[in-house]
Amino acid sequence: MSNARFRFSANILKRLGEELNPSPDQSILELVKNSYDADAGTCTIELVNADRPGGTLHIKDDGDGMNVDDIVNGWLVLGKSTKTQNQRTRLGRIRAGSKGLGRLAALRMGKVVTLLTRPRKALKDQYRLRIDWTEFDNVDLVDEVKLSIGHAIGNGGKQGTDILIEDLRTGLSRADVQRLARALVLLADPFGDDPRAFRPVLHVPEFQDLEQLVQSRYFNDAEYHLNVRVDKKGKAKASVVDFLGKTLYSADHSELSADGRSYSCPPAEFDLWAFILNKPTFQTRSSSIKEVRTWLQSFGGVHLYENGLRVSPYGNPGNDWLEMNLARVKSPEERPSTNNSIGRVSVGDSEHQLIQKTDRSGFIETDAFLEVQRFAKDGLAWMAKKRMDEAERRRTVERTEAPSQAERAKEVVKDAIDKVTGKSKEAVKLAFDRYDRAKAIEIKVLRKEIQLYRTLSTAGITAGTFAHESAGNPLKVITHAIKTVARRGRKGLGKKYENLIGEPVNMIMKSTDALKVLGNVTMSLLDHEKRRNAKVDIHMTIHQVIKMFEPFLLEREVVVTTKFASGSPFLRGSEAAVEAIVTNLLNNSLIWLEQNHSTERAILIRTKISENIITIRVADNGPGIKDISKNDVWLPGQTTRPNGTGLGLTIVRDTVKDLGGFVEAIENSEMGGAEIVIELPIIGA
Amino acid sequence: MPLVVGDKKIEKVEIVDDNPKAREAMAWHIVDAKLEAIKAPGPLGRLPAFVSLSLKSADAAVCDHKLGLIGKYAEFDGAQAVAELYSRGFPAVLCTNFAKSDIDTIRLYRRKIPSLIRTDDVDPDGLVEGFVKCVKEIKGDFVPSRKPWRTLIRVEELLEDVKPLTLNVVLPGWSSNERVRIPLDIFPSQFRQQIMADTRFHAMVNLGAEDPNELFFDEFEF
Repeated sequence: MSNARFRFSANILKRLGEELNPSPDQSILELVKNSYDADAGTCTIELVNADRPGGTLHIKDDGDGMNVDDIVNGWLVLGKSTKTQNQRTRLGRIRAGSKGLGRLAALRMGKVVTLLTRPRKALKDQYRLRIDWTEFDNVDLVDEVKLSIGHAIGNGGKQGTDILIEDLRTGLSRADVQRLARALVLLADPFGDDPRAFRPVLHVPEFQDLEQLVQSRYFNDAEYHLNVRVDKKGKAKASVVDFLGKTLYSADHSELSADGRSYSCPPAEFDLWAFILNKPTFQTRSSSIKEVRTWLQSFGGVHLYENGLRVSPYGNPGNDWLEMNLARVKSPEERPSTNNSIGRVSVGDSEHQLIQKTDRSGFIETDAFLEVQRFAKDGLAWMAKKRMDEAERRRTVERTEAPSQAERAKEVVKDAIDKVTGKSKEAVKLAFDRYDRAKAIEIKVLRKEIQLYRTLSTAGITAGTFAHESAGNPLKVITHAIKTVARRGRKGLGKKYENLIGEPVNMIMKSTDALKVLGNVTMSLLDHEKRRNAKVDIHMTIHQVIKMFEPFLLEREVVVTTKFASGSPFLRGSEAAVEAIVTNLLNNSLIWLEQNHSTERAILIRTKISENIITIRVADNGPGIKDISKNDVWLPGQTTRPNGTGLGLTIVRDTVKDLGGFVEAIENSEMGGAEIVIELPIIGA
Repeated sequence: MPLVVGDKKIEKVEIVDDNPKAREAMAWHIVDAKLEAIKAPGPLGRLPAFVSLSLKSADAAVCDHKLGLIGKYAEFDGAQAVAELYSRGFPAVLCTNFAKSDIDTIRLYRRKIPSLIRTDDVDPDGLVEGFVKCVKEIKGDFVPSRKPWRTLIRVEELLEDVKPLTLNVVLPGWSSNERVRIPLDIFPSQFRQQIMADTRFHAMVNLGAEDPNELFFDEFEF
């Protein structure tokens, strides 16, 4: 019988090293994590000419160092899941190092590696190992290259490990260095206050700037701070405190977890500091908006820490693992985004329930990880709901308090007038009384206007509902039924069909179509997409409104003629705004034309463009403006028609004003009837 | 007389509509197509229960889209029902007015809805055509307007004021100057957070469709 064993081609080092390496910063980070596992207090990374091939990387720590056994059976072993992984280090740290693949990737960044290490328990000993990777290029199998560990008596140096990676294969780009600096600054939870925490240092200017920035710590200037914790049993609790440290809301598990389920994840704590980046808020803060914005740009987002060390890519720029930005888009009012908040989720995962992917691109999406995500998202959702409730309460109070505030302000002015001495007192008093009366009239008009708007909005909503309902039910049934009558009639009656029922069936079909159009018009006016700000083609919108009105126009025998300027004038606004102007003017003309019994009823719409202004003229051959001043037609509630709302032209006036335009009425145009002239600024034609 | 398409025989057609009068009216078209109409009276409950019952009691189905307007007729909508039946190899036709508000919901399931007939266009011939198209597609025989092609898609904008969240996309392989609305929910959940303006991705789309409302999106690749 012959003995046999697996042996590995030297190429496997390349496969495992270079090809599993996501980026240089992630590889170097693996060596830094080794220093953390060795209970180092600091770890220094020096880059010498590292921006080009041939440069050097030097990683030095003050950890426990290694003896020969540690090097041979630990440091040089790849892919082994050490039995000590679950054991804490001397300082009680939970080990973060991986199975050695990341280390291999880092070590292979250069052509030569030198390891120097002095164990804490024998400071007089110093061990040296040199790896020349080019030697592996000339052999077939990994074990053909012998490595030797040299021993020297130390000169009383400090404990720790130095790794020198020389003759770099490729240089680190500026972006690589920036990523490395950011990753190192964030690695050991810089948001915590523990002075004994692990502090890696990178000797490049970018690092110092970033380190200074992260230490700025603007947490006290946050508008509110959310804290959510989940314990070993999967039960969570949460609180939100304001910038003064006052607790605003708190919740227990039943309020946080929608279905009451426990969170099946390791114990974790989620802290989020949210900022309101506007001037009024920052008037009372110690820092400036610009400072906080810069800080958030560099470190914003929610970072994830497992056993005290950060796991990438959670919280990296562009990584929104808690879908905060998405939630903010859905509900912008009270949701923080990664641009205006900073946070961390710290997981105490002593049993290693979260498993990192081999290429260090985050955690595998196991149930435990998804539960961590659920816990944090539930916390955010709870906070959003609380803040929404509060905002609604605030609005209600503001609505109720507004009048009494005005009354109080009025008393203050009156008191002030009383204190005025001399002749001017009476004059001031008189002027204020006049102002007060004018204000009262204005409020009365506004109230009336609001009431009208509310009534019409309700009518609009109801019309929309009815239009939808009629299309879905009665009209659908009538359509099916009449088509069946026609089909069966033709089949059963043959040639007699047309004479007997052809005409009434056709009439029902046409009337049904007309009814459908009425419904469609209502629903089209309520289309929310038209209310979005965008480029609005004015001619096209006018044409669409005329098309929409076609069945009414036919029914009432009204001919609409258009004489448009050449080109396609457009403005930036909402289609609904332009549509509201044209629709209300057409409605008005149709009403005025009811009084025209002699001639052919006509509406003429003309446009003219001069420079950046479009003039739209809508005229008809009705009776013109009579029994009301041409200046009063714009006032709300002013109508000469029984049951008229008197709001159509008010809406036209307000909308034109919103679009930065001008509107006027002409009592009798060349068409004979009224003409409305509108000027709107455009941005192109 | 049953309708025969290849080895598939359609005799009984189930009518799914929450309005009893509309079920009755639809039955006239089915009967005139020489098929047997089975009017599903409801309540139909949840989708799995409905589907398993339909598979046993009929050979095809015609569904209205909005099924929750009257009483507690069904806990699902017509597009969902048609798509699920299609997945089970059961021909089904969706009949709807295709209101603008329904376009996004229907788009979610459009890949599995080969036959969508507007209420105004429903007649016996149209229904038979719809069933034939559906049976053929289930067997892999796509009409040109339904054949999926791999194509590049660009996100033009997220419509922030539309709920549920919706986006406008442009498919240069279909029309480079027309925007198409798709709901965010159409993407598998792991891709949703990557979606923003200017995101580009590939998907299988029926580029032969003439109407943007007929476009379906499937098998996303980021």
